[in-house]
Amino acid sequence: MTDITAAGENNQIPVLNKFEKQKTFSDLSNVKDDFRAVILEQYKHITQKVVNHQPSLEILQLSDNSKEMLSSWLEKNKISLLDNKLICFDILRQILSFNEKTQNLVILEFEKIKRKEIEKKEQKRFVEIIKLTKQADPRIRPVILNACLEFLTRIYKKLYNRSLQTSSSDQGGSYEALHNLVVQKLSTDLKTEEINTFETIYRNVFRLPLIVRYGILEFMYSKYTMEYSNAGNPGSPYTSNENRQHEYLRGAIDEQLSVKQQLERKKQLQADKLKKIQEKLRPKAANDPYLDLKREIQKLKIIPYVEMMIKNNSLLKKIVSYACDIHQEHYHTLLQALDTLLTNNQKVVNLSMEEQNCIKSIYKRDGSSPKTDFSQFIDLLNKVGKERPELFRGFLKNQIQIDRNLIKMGVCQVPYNDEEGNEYFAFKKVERV
Amino acid sequence: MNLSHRILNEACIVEVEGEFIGYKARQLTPYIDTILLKNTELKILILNLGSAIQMDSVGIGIMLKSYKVLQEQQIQFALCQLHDEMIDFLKFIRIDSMIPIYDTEEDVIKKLKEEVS
Repeated sequence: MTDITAAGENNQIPVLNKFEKQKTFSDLSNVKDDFRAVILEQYKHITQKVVNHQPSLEILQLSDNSKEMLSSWLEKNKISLLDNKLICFDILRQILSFNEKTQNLVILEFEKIKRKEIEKKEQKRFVEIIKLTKQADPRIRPVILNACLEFLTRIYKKLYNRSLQTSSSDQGGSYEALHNLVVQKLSTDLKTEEINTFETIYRNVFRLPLIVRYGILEFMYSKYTMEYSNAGNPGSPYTSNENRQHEYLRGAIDEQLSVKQQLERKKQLQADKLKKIQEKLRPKAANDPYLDLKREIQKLKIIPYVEMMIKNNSLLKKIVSYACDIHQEHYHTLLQALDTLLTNNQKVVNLSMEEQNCIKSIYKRDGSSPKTDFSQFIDLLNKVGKERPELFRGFLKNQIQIDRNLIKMGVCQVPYNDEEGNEYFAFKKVERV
Repeated sequence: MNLSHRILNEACIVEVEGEFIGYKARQLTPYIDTILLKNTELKILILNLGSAIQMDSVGIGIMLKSYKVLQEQQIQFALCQLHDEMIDFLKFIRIDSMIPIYDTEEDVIKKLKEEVS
């Protein structure tokens, strides 16, 4: 591992660019460490696999000339392919330091030999990733998926200087097979957006060079299999590179969680603010001398169009408006009826003398302005009585009921005169009269 | 509501007939004012509610107002012949501790005379 990184930093592996669609290794060396490390790590894996399976120069199917050059180099350095797997990296690097034509040949042969094996691994990894995704905490799942997607985007930007495309025309048959497999596996238990993210990820993975795309899968897989909380900690069983990947993931998750927490905090603050305002607006029970009265009235059913007549009696106004809150339905019905009657300008006087007197008493008692045209007012009430007799009778009945309840609470209506000599009535506790 | 009165020596008996409620009850105040103007020697005023069929919070308020006015003029005020329901109401709000309630006019006159003597 150390050798690889050092080699990358010293520009001693320029051939790696040949793996990356003819780009020069100097470009890759300019890539940030964490990204480069992932690429190199995957390169190492592949070379190891090659050695594991067929530890011979034959696997590379080099030209005779190339084989000779490679053999002489091995002899010169007294290296056997079986001696050390990691040495294979150097061998391969040496091979790829041949001229461009030879390099291309080597790469093509290499990919040809290993493609099937890698695709098998990819398939397995995809299935494992899906399974693990389903098992993951739904809150963290999108975070991890997005981290993978972001990682992939970064690779694309670095390698091809472009963002992820959701469609691709250069996907082969293996892609289709995998796609079907993944879609089948994804069709249950995952959310639509998660499926979409997955599709985007592996569709784009397939557009990367073979050696890189396997690295992406490994990266994704590691998100689930590694213990997130342990990653990067002293004593962690993972390699420094794995820890680096975890650090990246941790950063991505923390960033997203931070945004989420900020939003939640903001919501909480707004809720607290609203609660404070509501508490301010709520009448304080301890300081409200009419609380009992209000409670009593709350129990009653009244049709609260009395409110329309109330001008100066603030307590009655309070009481009625309190009642209005309870019986909005009646209130609006009555207002609507009044409005209709006024609009049509109907003049119907069809109340008994007793009812008219009752209305008159209400009108006077509630302190309506003397300037109001009383005849017009009484006409209006009569219209309501005609149009909505059930409401009107109910109103009169409830007036009496309210009054009885007021008395029961020790409240009576006491007359008083204002400065102009107009007489009004105020609700007062008997002992205060 | 109909109002009528009788003068018996230094006492005046005001009879209320019908509903002693709301707008109607308000008639009592000017009616008593008129009596007081015409009868300056009055010592007792009795409100007979035997024929009153209903009383509301305005009626009670008017009674209390009358009681205050009469008290200022050092005239005794009392109620008589109330229905049970009215008595319950008045007792409930403890008006009976301010304004005495009697069964009959005679009871009132007798009692009040005893107190004066």
